[in-house]
Amino acid sequence: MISAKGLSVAYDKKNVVSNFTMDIKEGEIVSIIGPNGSGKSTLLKVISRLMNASNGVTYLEGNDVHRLPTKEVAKKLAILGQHNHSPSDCTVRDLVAYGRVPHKQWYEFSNYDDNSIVDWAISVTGLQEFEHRCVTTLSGGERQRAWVAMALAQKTKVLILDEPTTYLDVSHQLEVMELLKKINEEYKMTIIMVLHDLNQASKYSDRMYVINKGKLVMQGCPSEVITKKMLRDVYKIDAHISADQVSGKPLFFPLGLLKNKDTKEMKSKIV
Amino acid sequence: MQSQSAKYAQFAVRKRLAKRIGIFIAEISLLVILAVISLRFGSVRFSTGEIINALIDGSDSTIRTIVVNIRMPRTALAILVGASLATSGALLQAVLRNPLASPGLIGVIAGASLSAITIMLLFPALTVLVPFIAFIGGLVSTLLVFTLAWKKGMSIIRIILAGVAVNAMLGGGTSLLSVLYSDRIQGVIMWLNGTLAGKSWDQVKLLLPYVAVGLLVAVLSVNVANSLQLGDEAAKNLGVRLNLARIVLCSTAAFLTGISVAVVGIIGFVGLIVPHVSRLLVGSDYRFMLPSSAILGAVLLVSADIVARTVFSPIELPVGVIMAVLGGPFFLYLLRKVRGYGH
Ligand SMILES: Nc1ncnc2c1ncn2[C@@H]1O[C@H](COP(=O)(O)OP(=O)(O)OP(=O)(O)O)[C@@H](O)[C@H]1O
Ligand SMILES: [Mg+2]
Repeated sequence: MISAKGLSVAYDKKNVVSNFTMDIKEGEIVSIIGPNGSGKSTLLKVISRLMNASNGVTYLEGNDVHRLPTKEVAKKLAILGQHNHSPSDCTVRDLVAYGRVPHKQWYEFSNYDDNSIVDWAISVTGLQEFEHRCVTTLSGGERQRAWVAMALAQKTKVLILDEPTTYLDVSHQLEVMELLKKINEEYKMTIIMVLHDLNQASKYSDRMYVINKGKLVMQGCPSEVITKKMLRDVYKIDAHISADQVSGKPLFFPLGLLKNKDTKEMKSKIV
Repeated sequence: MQSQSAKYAQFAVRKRLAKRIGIFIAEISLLVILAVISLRFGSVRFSTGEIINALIDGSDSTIRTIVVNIRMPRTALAILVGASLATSGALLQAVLRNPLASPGLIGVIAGASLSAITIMLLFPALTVLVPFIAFIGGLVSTLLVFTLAWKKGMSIIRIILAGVAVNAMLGGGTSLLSVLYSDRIQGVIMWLNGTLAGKSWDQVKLLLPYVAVGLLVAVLSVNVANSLQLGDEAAKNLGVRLNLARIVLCSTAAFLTGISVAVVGIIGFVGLIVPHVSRLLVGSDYRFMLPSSAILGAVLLVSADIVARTVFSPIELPVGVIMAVLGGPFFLYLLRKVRGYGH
C-alpha cells in the first residue's frame, strides 16, 4: 500500500531522517514510536507528500507520491497533523464537509452524495449531538474526533495520524484508539500513526517502527519491538515487561531512568 | 433526549441559513436603495419620480443628461470598484491567513501610486495614460513581491515581509517625488485619495470586463479559500496545490485592485475592513463571506461617494477620506457588538 525507500529529510542541511525504509500493507495498523525530536512527524509529512525528501522515494500503491497529482493523493490518503486549527465559527459539520473538497471540482459546491458521506463520518465518530457546535467550543477529545471525521469524509484507503491521542485523558484516548480500530476493521482502512504511549501502540498496532535520531532502529510486531533492550537503547529507561492477559501483547512498566553519564552530569549541576 | 437535541440542531442549521439569507437580502436591498439615492442627490436634487419619468419618456432632457451621463456611470463605477477592492481583500485574507492583510500588502497599490505620480508630476503631458501605467506599475510591483518571496515555493510570512519591504521602498519613492515637486502636488492629491469625480461610461466600459473576470475567478475559488483557512498542511491534505493557489488568488486580488486603483486612484480602506464586516455578519465560510464582501464593498463605496459629493457641495471631497472617517467608527462599533470575534 505505502512503502518508503531510503528516505532522507533535511531541514537547512541538517538531516533529521536518514535512509528510512518501510513497507506497509493494506489494512494494517502501524505505529511509529520514538523519543521527542526523533523525526516522526517529519517522516509522516514526507510520506504524505506535505514535505519533500532530500533523498528516497515514497510509493503509494506503486506510484511515487510526489509525482501523483496532489488531488489524486488526497483521494487515497488523508493525514491529520499534530496541531490543527479551524476558523472560530466553523461547525463540526462544516469541518467534516471540507473532507469532501478533494472529490469536487474546484468550483463545485456540495451535493447530495456529499451529504450522506458527511452524515456517515459524523455517525461513525459518534459526533451527532455536536454536529452543529463550533469546533472551537468542543473539548480536546471531541475536537480530535471531529478532525478524524473530516479525514474519514475524504474516503481514503490510508489514514495517517500524528499523535492522535496527545492532550486527551485516558478515556478519550481509548475512545479515539477504539474508533481507529473500528474504522480499520470495518472499512479496511490502513492506519499509520505516531504514538507516544507505548502500551497503546502495543495494544492497537499490528506492527511498530522504532525511530531514533532519524534512523530506523527496528520494526516488527509489538512483542518483537517492546523489549527491555529497545527501551534501554532508545528511551534510556529501565522497564519491566509483561504480557497482556487477554491479547498476549506486551505491556511495559517504567522502573526508572538509566543512570548514564549525562544524567549524572545534570544532577551534579543541579546540586 | 437524543431526538430533542437533534431537533434543536436542525433548528440551529435552519436558523443559521435563514440568518445568512436574511443578511444577503438586506445587503442587496441596501445597495439598491443607496444606488437610487446616489442617482437622486448631488449638486441638484431630483425625486425618484422625476428620474423615472425622465428615463422613460425622455421629456426632461437636463435630468436625463445628468442622471444618465453623470450619476449613473459614477454609481456603477462605485459599485464595481467597491466590489473589486473588497473581494481582493477577502482573497488575500484567505491566502495570507492574516487579519491585517489588505490589497495594499502585496505592493499593488504602492506600485500603482508611484507610477501614476511619476507620470502626473514628471510627464504631465502623458496624464491620459495614467490608468494604463498605474495598472502596469501595480502588477509589476506585485510581481516583484512574489519574486522576492519565492524560495522553493512561497511561504505566507515571506509574502508579507517582501510586501512590507517593497511597500516601504515604493512609498519612499512616492514621498520623494511629492517633496521634490511640491509645487505641482495639488493636482495629484485627489488621485492619491481616490475620487469618482468626472468619470463617465468610458471608465465603466473599461472596467467592467476585467472586474467581471476577476470576480468570477474569485467566486470559483471559494472551496480553495475555505481549505486554506484550515492551515497549509490541512489544505494540502485536501488536495490544494498551495503555491498554485497562492499565486492564482494573489494575482486575482492584485488584478482587481490594480484595475480599480488605475481608474479611480487610491482607495485603501474597503479592502481591509469590508471582509471583516462580512465575516462578522455571515461567518467565515467563503461561499457566503466572499459574495457578501463584494456587495458590502459596493455599499460602502456608493455611500461614501454620496457623502463625498453632497456634504460640502459644490466642493467634492476625496472618497477615500470619507470612507476612513465614516467606516472606521462603524467597524469599531460592529467589533464591540459582535461577541467572540477575534478570539
Ligand atoms: N521546520 C523545521 N525547521 C528546522 N528543524 C526542524 C523543523 N521541524 C522539525 N525540526 C527538527 O527536526 C527534528 C525532528 O522533528 P520532528 O517534529 O519530526 O520530531 P518528532 O519525532 O515528531 O518529535 P515529537 O515527538 O516531539 O513530536 C527535531 O530535531 C526538530 O527540532
Ligand atoms: Mg511530532
